[in-house]
Amino acid sequence: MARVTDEMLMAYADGELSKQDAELVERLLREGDVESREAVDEFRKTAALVRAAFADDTNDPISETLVETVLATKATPKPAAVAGSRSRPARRERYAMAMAACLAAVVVVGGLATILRPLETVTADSLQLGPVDADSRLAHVLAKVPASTLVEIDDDNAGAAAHLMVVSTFYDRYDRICREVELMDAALAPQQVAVACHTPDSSAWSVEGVARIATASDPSSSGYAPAGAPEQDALKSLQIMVGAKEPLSADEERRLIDAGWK
Amino acid sequence: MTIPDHDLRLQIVTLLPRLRRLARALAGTSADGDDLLQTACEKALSRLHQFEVGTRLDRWMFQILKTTHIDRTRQAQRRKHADFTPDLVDVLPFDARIHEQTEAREDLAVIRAAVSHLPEEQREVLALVVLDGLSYRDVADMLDIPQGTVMSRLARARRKLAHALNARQPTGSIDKDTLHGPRH
Repeated sequence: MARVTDEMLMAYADGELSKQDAELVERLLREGDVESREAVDEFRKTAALVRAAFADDTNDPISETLVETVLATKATPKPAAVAGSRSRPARRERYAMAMAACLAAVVVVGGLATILRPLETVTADSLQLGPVDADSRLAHVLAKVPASTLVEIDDDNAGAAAHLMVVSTFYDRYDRICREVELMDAALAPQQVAVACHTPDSSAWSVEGVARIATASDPSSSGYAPAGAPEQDALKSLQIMVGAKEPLSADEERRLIDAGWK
Repeated sequence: MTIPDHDLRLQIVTLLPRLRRLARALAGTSADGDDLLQTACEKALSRLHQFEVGTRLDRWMFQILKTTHIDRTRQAQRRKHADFTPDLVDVLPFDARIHEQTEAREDLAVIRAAVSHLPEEQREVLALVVLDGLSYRDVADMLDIPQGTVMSRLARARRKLAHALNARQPTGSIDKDTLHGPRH
C-alpha cells in the first residue's frame, strides 16, 4: 500500500492538497488504512479545538479604549459640530462625537475616499461611502427590504449579477437607525459589507463605513472553510466603528420600514 | 502616493478582531493577548508613515504583533532571571481552572495550555493557518519561509496538541473513540 507523509495527511485534512494528491489520500482511506484515517481525524480535531479554544466570546467586545487609541480620537480637541449642544458631554459621548467628526471628515472628502477602502482596486459596482442616491437600488433595499432578504441586482454595466442583503438593523451610539448591508457576487460569495445610517433630518441614508471581505486565496483548495471568519470580522468591525447597539427584532424593523424610518 | 492617516487607522480598526485572536493565541491568555495587542497597536501608530502603499496592511500589522510579542517575551525572561520568580509558563491559564465542569471545556483548556507550551515558531504558524484561515502558501510568503517548513511546523504543533489531549484522557472523562482503540 502506498504511504503518504504526515504533512500530506494534514494538508488533506486542511483542504490544502492538490486534486491529484487528495485523490491519492482518499484512495488510501477507502482502502481502509486505519493509521492514515486516524491521523486525518486527529488533524481535523486539533484544528477544530484550537478554533474553539480561541473563539471570540460574544460577551467580550473589542475594547473601546483600544479603538479610541487606534483612531486617535482621544487627541481630537474639537469634535463639536456634529452632535454638539451639550456643554459637558460624558467621556463616552465625547468619543462618539469625535468618531463622527472623523467619519464626517471622510464623507466630505467624498468621491476621493471610500472609508476602509481596500488597498486593491475598488470595482465600479462596489459599495461607496457617502450619501446614498435616492433612486439607487441600494436606497430601495435600505428603505424597504427587511433583514436577511436576498435582493438580486443586475449590473447594467458589467452584465454580471450581484446580490444585496441587509444583515441587521440597529441603533448606533447616537441613536440613529443604521443598517448593515452585504454585497455578494453572482455565486453569493460575500464581497463587501457596509453600514448605512439614516439621517432623520434629510430622511436620507448615508454609507458610513465599507469593509472588503477577504476571500480565500487559493481557489483550487476545494471544500476548505477558512477559519478566520473574515465575513464576521468585517461585520463586527463596522459595528464597533459606529457603536452598534443590539440588533432590532423583525417586528421592530417592520414597524420602522412601514413608518418610513420615522 | 500616501494613504491619509485616518483611513489607515480605520482599516486597522477593521483588523482588530483578527489581530486580537492572533494576539491571544500568541500570548497564551486573553489578558496577555489584549495587552500585547494594545502595545502592538501603539507601536504601529507611531510608525504609520512607514506603511508602504500597495502592501498588505494585515501582514504589516501581524509583523508588528509578532515582534512586539518577541520583545515582551524577552523582557519577561529577563525579569524572571532577575527575580527568581516561579516559572509562569507552567501555570495553566486561569481560564483552564474555571471551566472544569464539562469535558468539552476541559479539552479547550488543555488545548490552550498546550498551545502556550509550543515553540514560538510552531505557535505562530498554527495561529495563522488555523485561527486566521490563511493558506500554507500565504503563511510561507508572510513569514518568508518555505511552504514545506510551514507544513512541518504545523504538523508538529498539532501532533503535540493531540498528544496533550490523549495524555489527559485516562484520568479525565470518557472519549468513546479513543477508549475503543483503533478501528479496524
